[in-house]
Amino acid sequence: MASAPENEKNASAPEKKTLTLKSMINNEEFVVDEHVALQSVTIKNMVDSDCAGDVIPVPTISGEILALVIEYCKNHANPSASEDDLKKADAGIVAKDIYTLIDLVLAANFLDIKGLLEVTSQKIADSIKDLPHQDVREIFGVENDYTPEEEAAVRAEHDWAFEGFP
Amino acid sequence: MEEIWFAINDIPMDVLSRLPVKTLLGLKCVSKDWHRLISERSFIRHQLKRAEPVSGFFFQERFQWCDDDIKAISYIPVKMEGSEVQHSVFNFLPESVVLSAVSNGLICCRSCFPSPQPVIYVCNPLNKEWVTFPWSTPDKRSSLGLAFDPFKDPIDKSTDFKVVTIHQTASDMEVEDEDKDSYLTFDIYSSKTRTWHRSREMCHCHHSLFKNKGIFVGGALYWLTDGDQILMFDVQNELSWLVTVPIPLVQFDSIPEMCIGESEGKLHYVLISEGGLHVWVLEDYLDFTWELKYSISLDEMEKENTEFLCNIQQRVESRMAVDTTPWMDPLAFKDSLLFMRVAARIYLFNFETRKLEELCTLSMLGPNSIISPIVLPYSMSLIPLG
Repeated sequence: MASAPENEKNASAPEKKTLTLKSMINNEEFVVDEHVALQSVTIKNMVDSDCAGDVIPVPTISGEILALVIEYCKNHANPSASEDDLKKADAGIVAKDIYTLIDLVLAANFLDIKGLLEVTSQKIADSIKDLPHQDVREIFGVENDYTPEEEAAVRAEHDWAFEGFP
Repeated sequence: MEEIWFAINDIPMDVLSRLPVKTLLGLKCVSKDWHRLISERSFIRHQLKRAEPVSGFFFQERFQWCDDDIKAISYIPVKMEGSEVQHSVFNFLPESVVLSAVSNGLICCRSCFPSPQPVIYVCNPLNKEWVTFPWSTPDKRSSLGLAFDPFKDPIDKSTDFKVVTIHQTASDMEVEDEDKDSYLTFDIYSSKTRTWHRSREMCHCHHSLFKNKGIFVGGALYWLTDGDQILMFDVQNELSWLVTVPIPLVQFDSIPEMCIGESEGKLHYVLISEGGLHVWVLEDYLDFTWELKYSISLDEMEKENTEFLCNIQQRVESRMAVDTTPWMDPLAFKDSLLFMRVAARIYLFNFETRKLEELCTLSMLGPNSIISPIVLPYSMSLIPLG
């Protein structure tokens, strides 16, 4: 392998293909290298089954979120990035407010990017860990359907574990 | 989008399953839907993959010379700020019990003696659920171990476990001979078949089991003995071994104290001697391969924790007889945390940070708390029973 002539190597270098992703929410377009975009299993499936045209429309994901997703894919498509670098870069991407994180986790889920789904879910979990229940309800759009008596009864189920609970 | 996202996909389940049990208990108050989700077996199974930290220790006193059991059980939370020692955690059971073993948040205990018909309980004190079954050969001196592995035996439909009891039998009780034929027998209860059976396995062992009993690690139960050996029982294959401890105790001038426990899925052996605080990991039980993991001299430890410790080197060195109470007594070990008594106080030593933290005084745990108490490390789990 090492003795292979230089020109042969150059000849076999593949041409760089690009794909255009378009947010259907605000019509923003992003041109990305194919190998970057293929980290999304959803896009890979489209490309593999020849369903992908020149422009791939991405429904329900805003340009702002799509930019974050592409940033993540670019970082992880870089073969020279060390594990430490990636960790730092991931932390930077998810250093956002909770509503952006929820949009991001839905995007990662739709585009089927496992690593991004993982770091975003973990970040959301960390962010809600110490929040008052009313804030959690607002973030998740959940209504409190307990009566005060019922809620007290739920707390009483685990009374001793709640001792010293924030 | 936020309003409906909880309902439409499994992301919320994935997010919530990353939270510690205590947070999830609180989140049950968010709504009835969340309460249902957090109580579902499929969710709990998912959540178990997350390593749950030690939340506290259960502590039960024992009489040294009297045959009766002490009923009171204390729970000592790891983070003591704002939380207190609790005394009523097991009040949901129909009678007073003696704690025996813990495994993945489930606790195995038995009726207090004297009892007209002693039974065994396996319970989850967090959701106050329990199952009970008869004890085929009730014997106060026999030791109980709980084998429960929710990863090997998924909890999708039911919660399956095994309880192993050990009886020590000396064929000739009267002869105090070195060669006396003392052996251990094993009875196994399976929750799947709801039956007991006596294992064919027998283990010749001249030592008594003491302190940490029935530590469940990687499919096997381990018991510390008062000799230089640890008893191991492979629950699946019903095989027993005696594992030689990493260092023979006779090599010390004074009497050391030890305990065993689990951390990162492996058995650990903790020794406090005049040489300091040492922890070994059992890497291979067939070859008795122990690897030294932590080593701290008593002077170093004292220097780093001057607010709690004073003159411990001399105190530990001066223990010359087994029946003198040790100054420092390692009582339980789990996930790099050592629960130990020093003089009349209970401390938690974190081997990773090398920090000592006072948890409580012995007086908060009862008048008999100094001599060989039962101590179980506890990590909360949502696992349902019954």
